[in-house]
Amino acid sequence: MKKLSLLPVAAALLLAGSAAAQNALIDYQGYAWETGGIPASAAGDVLSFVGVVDNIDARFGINFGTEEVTLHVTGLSSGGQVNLGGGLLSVAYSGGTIGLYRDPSRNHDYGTFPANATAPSTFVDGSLLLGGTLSNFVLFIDTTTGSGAYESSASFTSGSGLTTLNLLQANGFTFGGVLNSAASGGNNPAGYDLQVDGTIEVEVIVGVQEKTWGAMKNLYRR
Amino acid sequence: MQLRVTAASLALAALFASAAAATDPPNFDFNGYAQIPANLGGTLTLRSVLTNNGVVPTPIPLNFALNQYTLVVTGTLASVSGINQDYSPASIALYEDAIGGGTAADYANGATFTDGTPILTGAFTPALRRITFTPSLGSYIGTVNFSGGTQLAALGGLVNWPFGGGWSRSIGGIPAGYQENWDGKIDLGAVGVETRTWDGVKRLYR
Repeated sequence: MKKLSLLPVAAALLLAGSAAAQNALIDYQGYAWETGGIPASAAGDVLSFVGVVDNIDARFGINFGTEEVTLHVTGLSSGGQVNLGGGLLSVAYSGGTIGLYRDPSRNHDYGTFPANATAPSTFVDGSLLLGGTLSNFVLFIDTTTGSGAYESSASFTSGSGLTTLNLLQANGFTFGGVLNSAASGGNNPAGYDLQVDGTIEVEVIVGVQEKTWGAMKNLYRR
Repeated sequence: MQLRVTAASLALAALFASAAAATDPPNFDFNGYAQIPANLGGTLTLRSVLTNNGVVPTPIPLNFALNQYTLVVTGTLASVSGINQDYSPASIALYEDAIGGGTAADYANGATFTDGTPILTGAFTPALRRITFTPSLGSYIGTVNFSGGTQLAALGGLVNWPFGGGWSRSIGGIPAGYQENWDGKIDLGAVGVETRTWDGVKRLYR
């Protein structure tokens, strides 16, 4: 009975060639600024943000008691804001890079009016955990409430985190919410246009080892 | 008494100010999943877990090594206008549940988010607003007034705590029975300030 129930699963794995394991999630918060401020977002303005990770998939082996993981996104080039009516703006960005760094010094410091002496420098020190590029980054802002949201695809191509997940490359996705200074109750450090709070999803694909049918049957013979 | 109370208030304000300058602005950071009603009068339920984990300071002392903290929001869909959906009344509660001996938050069992000690409870005023930018992406925003819980006295100011974040239906891993991933935070509420003339301040310390 046991051998019969296992065979269909084994056969399915052989046919699939690979299997999707549970994706890795990374939770972060931080602050963003755009050259010239946002809103308004003019074509060519560059959006950047820095942040800190406060929750991360256990597979990355991070110990928040002894290290921090920081985030730096930059190079997002604005295509210019589009007025959707009713105080709603959308901005599509091209390009963009993303980096997450693990650092035992735990020294991140937003400072004020970035870029400054500590931002982004204290968010990119340490060792690279995940690095890659962003694509299809879009930001919406409701100017009547000062709130908004963004989402983007990501492609991770470097960093020790890929090695930990036994991957050479990983696709990803990130989304988050934003608040301007007024909406956040004045809690944004001076000079930062928006606070950001988001999640990164790293796709984890597990490779499958191919075997012949005879070899498969041998695994379950006693 | 007045001098001691005022001095204490100044000291408390200074503590917050110096803490803000030296560390990240404190907040309650959460991540969870929401059930969104289809019709007016329906109930929104957000179940989430606080994710500060000792990395980002919280407005009151919390021990993430010993406890799991959950945050639950419920609201009644009162009106829909364009991209805005307003929930009123809407309430919020934060719970503390010991990691050893308590029940871990399980999205398949909603009761595991409310079986701890309610440390802070309150309501949104006037409403919690959910905003839809695309069918799979939006934001939410509201203002919270806290009025109950075992840690209420530790808050200081009780009113006007900003609550906001983003929601997504595109991200993977949304548990069965939920429609959206909500990621956001409650920022530090404004601390009230008592206005005095310069002479008034000097008299306090004579």
